[in-house]
Amino acid sequence: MNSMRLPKYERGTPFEIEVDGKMLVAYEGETVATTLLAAGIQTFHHPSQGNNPSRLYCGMGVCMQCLVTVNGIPSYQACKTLARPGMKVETDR
Amino acid sequence: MTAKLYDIVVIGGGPAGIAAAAEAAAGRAGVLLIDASESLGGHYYKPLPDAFAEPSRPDNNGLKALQARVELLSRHNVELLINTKVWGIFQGTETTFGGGETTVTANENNTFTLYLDPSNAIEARILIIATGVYDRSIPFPGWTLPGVMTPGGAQMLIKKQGLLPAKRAIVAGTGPLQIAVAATLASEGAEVISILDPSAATDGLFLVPAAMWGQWNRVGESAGYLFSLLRHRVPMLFRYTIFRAIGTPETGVQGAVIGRVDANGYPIRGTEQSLEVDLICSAYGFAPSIALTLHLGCAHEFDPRLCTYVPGHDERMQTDLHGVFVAGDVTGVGGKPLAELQGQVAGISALETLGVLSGEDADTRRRKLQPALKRENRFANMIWHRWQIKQGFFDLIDDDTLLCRCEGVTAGQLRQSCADGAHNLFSAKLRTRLGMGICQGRYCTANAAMLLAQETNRSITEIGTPSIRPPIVPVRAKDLFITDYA
Repeated sequence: MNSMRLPKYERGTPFEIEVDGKMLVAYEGETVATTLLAAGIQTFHHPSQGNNPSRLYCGMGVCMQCLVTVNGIPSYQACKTLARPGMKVETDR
Repeated sequence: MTAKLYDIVVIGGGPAGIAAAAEAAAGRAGVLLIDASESLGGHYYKPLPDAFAEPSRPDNNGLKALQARVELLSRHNVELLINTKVWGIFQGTETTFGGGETTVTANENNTFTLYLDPSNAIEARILIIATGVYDRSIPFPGWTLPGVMTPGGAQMLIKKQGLLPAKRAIVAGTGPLQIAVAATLASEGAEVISILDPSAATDGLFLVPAAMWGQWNRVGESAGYLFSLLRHRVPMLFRYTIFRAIGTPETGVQGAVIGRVDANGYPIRGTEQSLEVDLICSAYGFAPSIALTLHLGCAHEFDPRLCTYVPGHDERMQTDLHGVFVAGDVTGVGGKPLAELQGQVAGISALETLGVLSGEDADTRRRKLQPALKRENRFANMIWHRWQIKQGFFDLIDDDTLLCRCEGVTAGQLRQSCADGAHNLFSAKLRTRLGMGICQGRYCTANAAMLLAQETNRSITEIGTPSIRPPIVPVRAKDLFITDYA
């Protein structure tokens, strides 16, 4: 999946967040999922069983497949969590 | 301190919940409206983030209409709690807290105690549940690969986050959303290879004239989407569906195998074609968000067209539990106008139960809404007749296909559990852990019920309704304890 920020949307102020040790640009109003997808990150979460990593599925806070760790606390829904300056995000790898 | 008591608590701030709260508050009841997201409006009205601006945006989702409704709520003194989830509701207890202690005692008033996240508790005499819907998934091989999404999720990414999630996409499944999502993807610059509709072009056509008469907004809206599809040369293939997603967990979706289906939705082998795509949007209509009504113990029935469970209700919109009302798409998916009408009916009936309105007055007010309700029900009936879920759609689920993503349960494991004696949802859950993961069965139980019925040769009612336990949404341990009452 090749995701692209659409230029016709005027975004909020840009800032950086740290994702798996790398600095990524995010914009005010974006969810963590949007920032990760725009950076081309393929998988967010590994459910407990088997090798079936997931990314964004329902996109509206129901399926719990996009869970990431934020500032050391696990199980944040990337699709419902707003990116904030200085946030440290870890995907399941 | 005792938890604050409201006459009516409305859960879900979409079109139905807003209408219900406005109707009830106009009758001078004490009303609280709770919504899990950061703004009212539900999926239908979801606005762009405040920090975003898109100057040329037409008011196509009626945000002005939403503002007017929200203003009406504040004029009628409806209290709002946004960013708040209800994780459990218990009846017949009273909760006191303060000084680091929470006590739960029996309560003769038989009110409902709602436990909330962030931590809080409130009491309600009457509940109106308007929790809406989400996309209804039916698995196929590869459906858990990154790059397979629900159409609703893709639409949300584009329209509410300004993120185009694909270069080349296909949109598959049933329901009116597919056409809208394909049109959105195409007009934002993605190449939409095709829309795959497993129903025939003529399905339900005989219902269209009567159902669409008077629905001029909808005629216009549909024409707009179809025009956009024509302009971007997106073909609609009828009696086609997605057979398989191609890719690896590491690469995500790299392709799709599509093919023809017969009149009962069964895949026709030998008709497969491979396509190179990086996004597969697939869903089969919508699934009502029934977690709360299940948890409360309301009676549910299996709707054969939606192929999922819906809470039963009478013409007053009351469930089989006294004081528990439902409104909107959670009752069976009818769209925004029907949701608003049902919200009004629920609001009127709640006032009647409270004794604010006499039975006669309530009847008169409900009767006035009947013609509009009939018209909207006719429309919903056409939609779900045309796009009813067929037995054959489940035929693509092979033994290796995951049914329950959270617990990693495959269809093969479910079928094996039947061989080992599982004969309903409950016994299959005990044997496989299906539905016991973090989403609590929101994506797997309706599909598992279909497979169980098929595998054990039993009727869907014998398979039983799903169960859910509080907390019905994941809650952090600290929020289970009420340390202060706001």
